[in-house]
Amino acid sequence: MEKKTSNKHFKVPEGYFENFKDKLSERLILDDTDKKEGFAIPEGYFDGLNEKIQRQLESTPIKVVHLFPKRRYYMVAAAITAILIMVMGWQWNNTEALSIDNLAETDIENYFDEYEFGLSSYELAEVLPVENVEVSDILDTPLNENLIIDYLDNEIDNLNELNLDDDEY
Amino acid sequence: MISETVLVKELKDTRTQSKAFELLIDTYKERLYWHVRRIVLNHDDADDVLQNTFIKVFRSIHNFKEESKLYSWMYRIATNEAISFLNNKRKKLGITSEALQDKMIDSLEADVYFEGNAIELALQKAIAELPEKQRLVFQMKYFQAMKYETISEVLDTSVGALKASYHLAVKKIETHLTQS
Repeated sequence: MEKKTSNKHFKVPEGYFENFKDKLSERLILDDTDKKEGFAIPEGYFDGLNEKIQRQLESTPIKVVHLFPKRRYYMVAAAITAILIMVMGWQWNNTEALSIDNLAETDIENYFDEYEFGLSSYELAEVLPVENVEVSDILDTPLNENLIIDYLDNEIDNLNELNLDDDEY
Repeated sequence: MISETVLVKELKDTRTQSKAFELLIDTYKERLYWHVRRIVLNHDDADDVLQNTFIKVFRSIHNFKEESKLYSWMYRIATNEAISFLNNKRKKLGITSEALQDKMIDSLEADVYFEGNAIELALQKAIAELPEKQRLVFQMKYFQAMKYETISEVLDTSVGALKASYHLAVKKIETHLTQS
């Protein structure tokens, strides 16, 4: 049996194949845009869109965008930091070295009152010079001579324990 | 049809940019609209975002380095515009992005421009529950059949990460739909 390859019995409208691509594209766009996953659009929305955007473009002012605003902030911050460092460095260089003379006596007293050093009275006595120390420097109320004699009479059994030199008797 | 290189050249030339911009809008308006619409769900919001997108494209065309395709570049702008739009909306309402997604879905049910059936609404609800990146990947891959390479250019994410996101998104949607 002869295979029929001719389509002479069938006809197509004039220009059908020439316009097929356009018609198909049109159809695809319609199918594609009419309704998607239930979403719909107002009729003729896309027709007027071009004009709408052009109008919007003319009426929207161009926003002035500063070039590298972040970099500018960083530069300002860096400049401020540099100035601060310079000022602090200058002050640091001008500061006299601290010595014991800069400290108020009350501060030193408070310091000794608040902190324990773990040093015994003997250890302290070895360190502190006593040549110029008077009894009145240590005690607030002056000692009565009779009280001292009474104390020595009652508390000291052997005067030799005091290790006094001869001229101190 | 005019080639992309020629179109970009004409858009950058002040003498030809007006005509070229018209052509650009006509060529991409529908694709970009549907991309944006799937993110913001509401027609009026999509319209706002789409107009802003084209305005931004027109004003930034001189910065377009042609390292990627014009189409990907525009998609990236549209995506960023849509996300910024939702973030601004969320801030104005003082709610979390999850709460905003819930609100958008609730509004969708009463939207005159949403004619979806129960299954389509359930699908939108499932998509709304995805994290932002997974939601975008799913929408671009599933509905728009975009290639991973193109999505990668738009979202600035590696193809591997996109495949993982899409896989996770599909699993979550399947679970959501099965449970509901």
